[in-house]
Parts: sequence; structure tokens; C-alpha cells
Amino acid sequence: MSRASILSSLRLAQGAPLPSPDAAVVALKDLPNTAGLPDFIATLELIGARTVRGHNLTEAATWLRENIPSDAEIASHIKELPGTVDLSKVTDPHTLDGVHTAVFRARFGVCENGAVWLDETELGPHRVLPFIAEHLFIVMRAGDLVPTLHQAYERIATLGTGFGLFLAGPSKTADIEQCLVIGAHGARGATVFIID
Amino acid sequence: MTLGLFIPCYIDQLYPQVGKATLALLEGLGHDVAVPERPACCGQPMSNSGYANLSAGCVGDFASEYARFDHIVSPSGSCVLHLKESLEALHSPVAHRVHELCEFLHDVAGIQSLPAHFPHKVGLHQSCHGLRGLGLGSCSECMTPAFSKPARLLQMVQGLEIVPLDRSDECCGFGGTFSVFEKDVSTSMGRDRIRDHMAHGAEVITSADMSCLMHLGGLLSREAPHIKVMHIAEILNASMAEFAVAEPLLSNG
Amino acid sequence: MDQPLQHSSAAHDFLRDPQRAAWHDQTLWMVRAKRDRMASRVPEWEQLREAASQIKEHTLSRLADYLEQFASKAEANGIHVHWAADGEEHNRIVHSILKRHGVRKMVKSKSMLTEECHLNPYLEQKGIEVIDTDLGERIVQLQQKPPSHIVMPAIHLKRAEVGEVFHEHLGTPAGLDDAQQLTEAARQHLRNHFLTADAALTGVNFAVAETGGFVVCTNEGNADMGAHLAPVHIACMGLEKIIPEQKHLGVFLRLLARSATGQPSTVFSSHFLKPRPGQEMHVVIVDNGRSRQLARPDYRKSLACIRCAACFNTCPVYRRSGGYSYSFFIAGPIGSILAPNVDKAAHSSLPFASTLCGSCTAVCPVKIDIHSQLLKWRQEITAAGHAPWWKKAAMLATAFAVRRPALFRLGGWFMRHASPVFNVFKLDPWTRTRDLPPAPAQTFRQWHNQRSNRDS
Repeated sequence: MSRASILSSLRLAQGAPLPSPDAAVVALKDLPNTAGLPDFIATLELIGARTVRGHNLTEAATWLRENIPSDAEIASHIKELPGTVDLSKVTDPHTLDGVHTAVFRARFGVCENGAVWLDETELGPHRVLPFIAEHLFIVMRAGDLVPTLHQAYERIATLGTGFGLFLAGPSKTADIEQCLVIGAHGARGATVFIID
Repeated sequence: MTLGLFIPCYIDQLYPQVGKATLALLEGLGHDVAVPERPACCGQPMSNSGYANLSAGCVGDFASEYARFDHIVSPSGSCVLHLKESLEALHSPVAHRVHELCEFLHDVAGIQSLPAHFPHKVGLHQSCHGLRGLGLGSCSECMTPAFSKPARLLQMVQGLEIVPLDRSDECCGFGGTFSVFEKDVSTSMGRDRIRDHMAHGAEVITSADMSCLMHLGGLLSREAPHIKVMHIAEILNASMAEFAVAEPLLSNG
Repeated sequence: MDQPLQHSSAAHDFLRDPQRAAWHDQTLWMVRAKRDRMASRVPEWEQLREAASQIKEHTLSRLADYLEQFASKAEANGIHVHWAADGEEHNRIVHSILKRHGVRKMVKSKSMLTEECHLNPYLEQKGIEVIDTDLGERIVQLQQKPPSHIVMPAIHLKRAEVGEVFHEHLGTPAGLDDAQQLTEAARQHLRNHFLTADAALTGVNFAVAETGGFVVCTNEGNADMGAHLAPVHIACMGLEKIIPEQKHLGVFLRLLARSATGQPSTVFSSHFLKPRPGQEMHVVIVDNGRSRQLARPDYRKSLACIRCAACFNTCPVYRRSGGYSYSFFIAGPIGSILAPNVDKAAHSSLPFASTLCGSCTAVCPVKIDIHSQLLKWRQEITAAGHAPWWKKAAMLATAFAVRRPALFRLGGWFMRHASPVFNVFKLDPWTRTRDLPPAPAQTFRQWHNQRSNRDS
């Protein structure tokens, strides 16, 4: 184990401590920013996600019924929007391969980049679900928005669970000649259902 | 105000008209301008080739020969940057008195108008050392308010139209000895710059750095000889000839 | 012993196909343009860069403390933390973990560190199959080539060439060159590997001292597909990946994707804090020359790099010479200041593969003074004798002549009168493609002296 030798050579090399960058970071967080729902929706569309506005979970259920094939496997973490997969019985994440749509609540969204925050409170123990599913259906309240990532991290505060995720739209790649292709390894589509 | 003019080696030897135009501009503003004999070169070629120790003599000569002036002007952004940085490293007070020509005209002389006339479409090549090194303008990478001192000066010239470019401040590929040691990349970069200027109808490519223009002009001379390169001093001095040509003015004094 | 790869000759080869070189240039320029558009939408962009730079500089000045804090927090969270002095130790650690679990196949997301350590060949030699899962990286892996770009590993290839690779290795129809269909084929192929891998290895974009957690950013979701399915997750990080606090992620994640690809965010920014129940999670912290670079004040800021590759995309030399013209596994301007720390002789041409235009420095989200460091490395490389003798001779002669007016006049006279001859024969590197300007009858100084004499 090289721990001791690495740390001692770093201590020799690192020199005198430089001042804390805190002031610069706080100043960024405190900048006025009026970004809101229209910006969030515009960014989501820019990054290839779909947004749907609604008033309640009943409308969300209707949307799902009308837009998801009736024989599709749905894995849901929202009890009002029941799926076809009993997630409480899933012990091996590999068995989630083949899920058509995964349904989650998002804690909050970030206007500047269209990301939503999910951690194990929303995901349960199945961390792979938002990656392995073919489509994502994410429910978020319109009021749960922050302008930038600075406020987002303030809101996350201490990560209470073992895994958390900013998810910004469907998976994508441009590795072949910079041609944008939606649906790399993760979801091919992401719908954010915004409850006003 | 005492003014020293530094004409770098390659301008002295190959582009005397640039030195003359610079001198005429400065004298036209009413300055007495002296041109010390030494050094012939700022030392940048050695430094950028990895022999900064060999450039120290030039920088030292410069510091002693030019120390007597209030301001020192040179029509070459790249040489000025090298001098400024080298002199700053030596904590020489001369460092802050060296100016690239546009910077001098814009910031020190503060000129608001020019009696120049140049009815042509001009492409402005922003030399990297002038732009990013000396801050003669805002660069496209930085999200800061846009400005350009050379462009402001050119806008004072009657009849002149600055053409827009697809890549407003990409390097021309000269890079000093890079142009020789990496001739293929250098040539490819230069050709791309020329194409950009041509596509936007430039008749003349100008710059505050003659070294970039030596490279672009060398390519143009073979590939598109109808397009000319001219140092910005030549354009700012265009048709000032009546009152700024040095000889008659000097024979009076 | 092979001669070290010279950038200029590799660039010469790349530029033999001018159409392809122009396409490469334009493709990367578009990425730079996207970055500009995204950055311009953030009014506090320059403030963000400054904050990121300050965080990194502060962190580098207390690196040992933050790494210790990170390690103890991570261990408290149930993560196994390992320390590797060099690439060889890194490989041994990874192998020992895999061996203990009887791993036969490992999926790997993008990690330039494992390229640096040559992990793939090491593990393959031990009988472990390694599958790179980033699409671009998988393409070059199938070609048995390294990435030519750290963010877009196969950016030098055209669709049809990818089609050929996939036809040969994945059995796609011959002649397929549709990006959508090729990506779909890779998705199916790699999905199968994700489902059957025994272990997953990922890189680390940021490790947070405060929490002991780490963040991995991808657009494809490949890091997460691997890490959340496999029973073992190994995350490998260079020791400079540490940042002090979680809130600092706000600064870096705002800069990273915008700088890298011109997206407002990567699709997935995954925050790993603890292994999932039943999973084993390891972090390998690697030095491999970084503490040596930290000890060089002129170059320590190179360790602030967040590997966005904005300096690649903006570099007019990189765009026109391609990733394979660089002798170091990280190409582009940042690679050219990291490489000499590893081996000055082998990478002696890299700091010269730049016009010092400074675009890299201006675009860098953490404000690394890349072009100034290139210039400094040039001095060290020539001082160490890794430059041709004739270059030094030419510079000595120039330095001598320009300080002696009579000699300078003589040399100048000769040059001016010889230039028409050079222009005719086109034998030297300048006149091969460019004319020297027509020689004036009189130099500026001659004219000026004449005028002064007449005047006095």
C-alpha cells in the first residue's frame, strides 16, 4: 500500500495552503436569477425531453394509459401510478432489463440545465432502473424548481442516501461523426410530467 | 512626451513601408520620434524556440536603449508582448511604457478621428498575441463585452468597410519558428484564414502584426495574388500623405 | 529503439488528405461553436471560471489533507479505498480485486486513467475480458486503437469507417453508415455485455472530500449501466480529481458539459456515496507522476484540469493534425503540458506543436495557463538537449547578429538579396508553400538614417 508515501510526497510538494475559495462560490449562489418554469421547459425540449403539463396524478395516469402500449412493462415508484412490475420483489437488477417505462417522482428540477434530482428516496434500491428502462416518466411539481446548480446543491444539502442523480433528458451520444442519436445505453425517451 | 519607435528586425528588412507609415502616424500626431539603432530584434524568435536565455541580450539592450523615453511604440503586437513579458519578469519599469501601435493610438494618444481614406473592403486579422496577449480586443472564447481597438481605429477611416469573418480570431498559423518547424499545419491554418477572408469579399487583409501578414501574404502571393496584405499602420496612414509624408515636414523643421 | 513520434511529421501525414483534415477541423470547430453558444447564455461565465480556478488552486495546495479526508469518509461509507503510486500498482490492485471475485468479464466506462496505466492489455494478459462501453471508446477498442480525443474518442473516424468496424465485429450489414442504426447496433451489443459482466470499472469526474462520495458524468448512461448491475464497482481516479466540498460541484458541473460538448448538462451526473446493498465498491487513488508535477510550481496548475477537452476543440493545431499526431495518450494542448512531466525526451516535440495563440488558455474552464506552460516546457526541453543541434546553432547565430548592427545589416542584405532565389527553388520549409516578400531597395533603418542625415 502506497498511501503513506503518496501523502508524504504530496505534503512536500503542495506548498503553503492557498486561501479558501468560499467567497467566490457564495457570490455565485447569491447572484440574482429569475429563471423559472418556462426556462426549465425550454431547456428540457432543447435536450430532447418531452414535457407534459397537468394538474394531478389522475391526469398523469391518463397520459400514461394513452401513450404507453397496453402490454408494456411499467416499473413505478409512485403508488398512484401503479406499474406492472412488483419492484418490492425484484432482488436482481438484471431482471429489470426489458422494462418499457420507469416511473419516478423527481425531488426538484434545475431551470438552467433541465436536470431533475433523484436519489434513493425516489429510486428505491434499484439504482439501475432509470438507465435500463427504455423510457422514463418523471413526475415533478411545478413549484419544485431552482434556477441553477448552486441552489440545487443547497437543496440537496447532505446526500441522505447512497446514490443520487441529476438526470437531464434521455440518454444520447454523438460519438459517430458528431451526429446526435437519442437513446445510447440508457432511456430512449424521457417525459417530464409537470404538475401545476 | 518623448517617443521611441521600435521597428523589429523583419519589418526593418522586409517591410520598410510599415515603419515609415508608423513613423508618419506618430509624427502626424505632433510627436518627436526617435529610433535607436539597437537592438534590431526583441528576442522572441529565440525565446519561443526554447532559448529564452539567448533572448536576454536583446531584452537587456532594449531596456537600456529605450529607458529614456516616456513611451515606446512598435507596430508589432507579438514583439511588444514578448518585450512586455520579459521586462515585467525583470521588474523593469520600461515594461509599462511599451505599446503596440493601436494600443498607443487608442489608449495613450486617445485619437477620436483620422484624416485617412481607404475605400476598400478590409478583413481584420486579429493577431493572437495582440488579441489574447495584449488585450487589444475581446477574444471569442471569453464571455466578456465585445470590443476591438484595431477595429475602432479602422472605423475612423473613410470609405473603409470591415468584412465579417466566420472565425473572427482564429490563429493564422505563423507562430514564429512554428511556421518552419510545423510548416504543414502552419500552411493549412494560413490557407483556412485566407479562405475565410476571401469568402467575405476582403480585398485587403490587415493586422496589427506584420508577422502574421508575412505568412498570409506569402500564401496569397502564390494562391490569390489579387488580395493584398497591408499593415494597419499603412491603412490608418492612407492618404494622410499630403501632410504626413515625412520629408517636406522635416525639411521645414 | 524507435524514434519518438514527432508531431510535425505525424501532422504532415494527417494533412496528406486535405479534405479529411478540413472535415476534422470543421467537426471540432462546431463543438467549439456549441460551447460558445452555451457559455454565452450564462452571464456569470467568467465568474464561474474564476471560482473553479480558485477552488482547484486551493485544493492543490492542500491535496494531502483533502485526500485523507475523502478516504476516511469513503471508508466510513463502506467504500474500499486503495492507493497506487504508479500505473503498475494501479493495475495490480484492480486485478487483485477482480481475481478475488473470479471476474472473467469487466465492463468499463471512459477512464483516461486506465489508458494512462495500460490497464486493458494488463488484464487481458491475465485472461480477463475488458469491454469499453462508451460508444466512441468501443469503436476504437474494436480497432485496437487508442482514443484520439478524450471526450469524443472516435471523432477522427467517418461513419462509413465505423460501419466497417461494426460489420467486421458486430455483424452489421456491409455498407451500413447511418449513425442512428450503427448506434442501435452498439446498444444491443453492449446491453448484452452489461447484463453478463462480473464487474464494472468507471472513472471519476469529481471526488468530494467532505462526503467521501464521487461523481461520474456521462451522456450515454454506460457508467451507470455497468456500476448498478455488476456485483463489484471499481472507480479509478487520479489524485487531482478531489474537490473540497459538495457545493463546489455546482461550480464544476455548470462548466464541464458546456465546455466539453456545448450541452447545458451531461445527461447523467451520478453521485456515488455508498455501495448498493450486496455490492462491493472500490476507489483506487492514483499518483503516477502527479505528485512530481505538483512539485513543479510552473506546471502544477495543469493538475486543475477537469478533462473537458475544450482546449482540443479550440486548438487550430489539434483540429488540423488529429489526436494520433500527439505522442502522449492525452492529445491536444493539455496533453502537451502533461506529457513532458512523464518523459521529456519522448514527448519533446509536443510543446512545440503550438503557435502559442493562447486560445486554449482563454477557453479553459479552470483557467489553466496552458500556452504559457507550453512556452516554459520549450525552455526545459532545449536545456535538456532534446532539440536538434542545428536549431540551437541557428538561434545562437540569430541572437549574436541581432545585437550587432553591422552584422545584422550584412545578414539582412544577404537575406533580402537571396529571397528571390529561395522563391524560385522552393527548397526551404518557408518557400515550399509561401513566397518571401519582394526585397525592398532600402531597409527602414537605411531610409531613416538617410533622412536624419539630410535633416542634420
